[in-house]
Amino acid sequence: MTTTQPAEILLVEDNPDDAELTLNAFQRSVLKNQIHHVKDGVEALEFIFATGKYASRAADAPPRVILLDLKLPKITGLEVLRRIRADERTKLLPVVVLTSSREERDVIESYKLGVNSYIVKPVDFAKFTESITKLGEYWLFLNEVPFVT
Amino acid sequence: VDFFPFSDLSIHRKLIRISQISSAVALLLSCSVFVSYDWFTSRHSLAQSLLVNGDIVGYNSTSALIFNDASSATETLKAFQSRINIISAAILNAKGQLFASYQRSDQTHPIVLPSDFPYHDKKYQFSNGFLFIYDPILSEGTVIGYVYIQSDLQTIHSRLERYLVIALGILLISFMGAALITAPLAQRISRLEEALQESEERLRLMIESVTDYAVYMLSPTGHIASWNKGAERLKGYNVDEVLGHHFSKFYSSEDQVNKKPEKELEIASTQGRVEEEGWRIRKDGSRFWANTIITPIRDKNGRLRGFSKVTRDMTERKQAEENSRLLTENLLKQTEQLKIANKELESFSYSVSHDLRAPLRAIDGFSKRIIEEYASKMDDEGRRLLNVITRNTRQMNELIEGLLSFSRLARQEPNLKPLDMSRIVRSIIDDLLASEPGRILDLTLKPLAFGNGDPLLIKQVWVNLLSNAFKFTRHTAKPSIEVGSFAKEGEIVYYVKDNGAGFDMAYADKLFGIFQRLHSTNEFEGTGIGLANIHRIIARHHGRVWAEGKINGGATFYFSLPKGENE
Repeated sequence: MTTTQPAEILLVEDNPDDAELTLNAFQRSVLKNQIHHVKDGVEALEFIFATGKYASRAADAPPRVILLDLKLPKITGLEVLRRIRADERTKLLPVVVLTSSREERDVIESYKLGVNSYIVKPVDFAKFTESITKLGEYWLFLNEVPFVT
Repeated sequence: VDFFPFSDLSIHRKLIRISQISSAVALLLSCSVFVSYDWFTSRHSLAQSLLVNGDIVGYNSTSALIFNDASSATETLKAFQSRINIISAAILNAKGQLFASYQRSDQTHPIVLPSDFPYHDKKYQFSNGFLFIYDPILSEGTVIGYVYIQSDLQTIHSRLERYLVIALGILLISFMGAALITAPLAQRISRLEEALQESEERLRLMIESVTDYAVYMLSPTGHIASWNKGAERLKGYNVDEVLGHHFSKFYSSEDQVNKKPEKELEIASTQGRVEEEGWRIRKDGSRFWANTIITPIRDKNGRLRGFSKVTRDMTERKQAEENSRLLTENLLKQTEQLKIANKELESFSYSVSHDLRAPLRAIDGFSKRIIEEYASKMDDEGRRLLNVITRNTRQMNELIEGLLSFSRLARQEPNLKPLDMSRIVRSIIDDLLASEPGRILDLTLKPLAFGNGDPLLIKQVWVNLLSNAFKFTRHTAKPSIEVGSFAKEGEIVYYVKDNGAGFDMAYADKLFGIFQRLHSTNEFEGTGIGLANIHRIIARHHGRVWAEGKINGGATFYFSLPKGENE
């Protein structure tokens, strides 16, 4: 995969305000129109594995990075992460936990399940925007991922 | 119970009496056998010798009888004079009629022949203390007459008398001999006996006087055979009320139905001992928790003679155990509740961490977007109001952060290490000075004693105390801060002293409460979490915190850490 192809970021976030702020932050940066937002764990898994309402989506075009909130309705963020890592097709997919929780056990559990990064959302809007921008730049431009068929 | 005839005698007397009796019996028995044998043989030999005499006299009298010469026969009979035991003698003709007679000189009455004469089957007979001889006189195979002799048994009697005297003599000598031989033995025995009696008495008195233990004896069937003061005190029965009763009366009716007392005796006699604890019943019906030990008593041959039983009242211990059990149970219950409360606190802090900050972020984020994207459409007042909102969201975020750090401390177990406090303090002061370039301070850093603590947590304490000192001396003309330590019994006390804003001692107890502030945010920034955290950290180290201060007169904050084992 090369950077010339349309990159996709999957944002898994149940809080619409947080989602709007995140999307807004992306829009302020260079990463416009490359982001897809889902509102719970079920929808996230459907998108990732191209099932349910995302059945028509090409399963061979996975997002380049997933921004995952932990506290989600239906299926929790940690469970989503576990299923991503358990599947041969997605186990190498970069996943970044983006959450309000700085609880030690959440951090430890996420890393145990093989998360690539753990980011606590700052409350301060300026810092928040900065974090999101840096995050996007790092995972889409700086980071190299293995070629996945 | 003794079936011995002299049970009331002392042992050594018994011994002498027994030896005397046994030797007497032996002697008498042998004497009587001997005497009766001798009596029988001497009677027989007397009869035989008289018969021989009779034969001779009869032979010599044959011609006298044939020729009817009575005087010649009388003359022949006089030969009996030499035998003084012959009282009378006679020659009878063939018809048994008196022909000639002889009488001892002391005899006055004429001869009277016994009525049962003549005998047909025997030649002599003992009768009425006399020996009668009836010896036929033969001439050419024909009985021509009889020799009659009456003899007394004087010789046999005097012989028997002599025997008796000798036997008595021997008996006497043997008695004396026995006494002589047993005397030293008896003395020994009597000494032993006295000692035995004494020790037995001592033991008895001792057992008697024991009042804390019921000590008593049981028969092999479990009937009470002795009773001491302790038993009386413990069970409430006196001796007369229980002696001979079965010991199961001290057990509850349930135990009695289950044959527990009998089973205990069974176990004791097969295993050599049984120790048991359980409820027992007093005379008045009240119960007590007893510890009992039953030991079988056996004689030399292993025959069961009874049981000794020692009972102790353990009611107090039992109650203490029961109380401590209840206490432990309550404690465990409370601990469980505390754990649940802690869990709840944990999930509370988790939700604070996650859920309270999300809306805050939205308030801040959208306010900022208004400021940035709609600033031109607002006047100064509108912008000021929005800034108030964002300033408060920041403040609230700090409060949440403080709350989180405080609750996190509650769960963290300190990892104790020896700490170089001087080094820690110096590095913190360096950082603080670097963050406020141009601050002029009079700093006194005294050498600090090492302390045992969690490096991160104790560093947090110093950071909070020192930054407080920096903060509250900001408006002071000649700010000075002093850091030091001193040893106190069992602990090391560290302090940070400043000459800053100080505080009113009336509120000293509020200082370390969570979110407690004695100054307004306008005067000095802060959330009021710092001292609460210090309090919590030091409490987790089993130390103390306190403070002294005066309004505008500075403040001194102290914390102590327990001394380690090798300090």
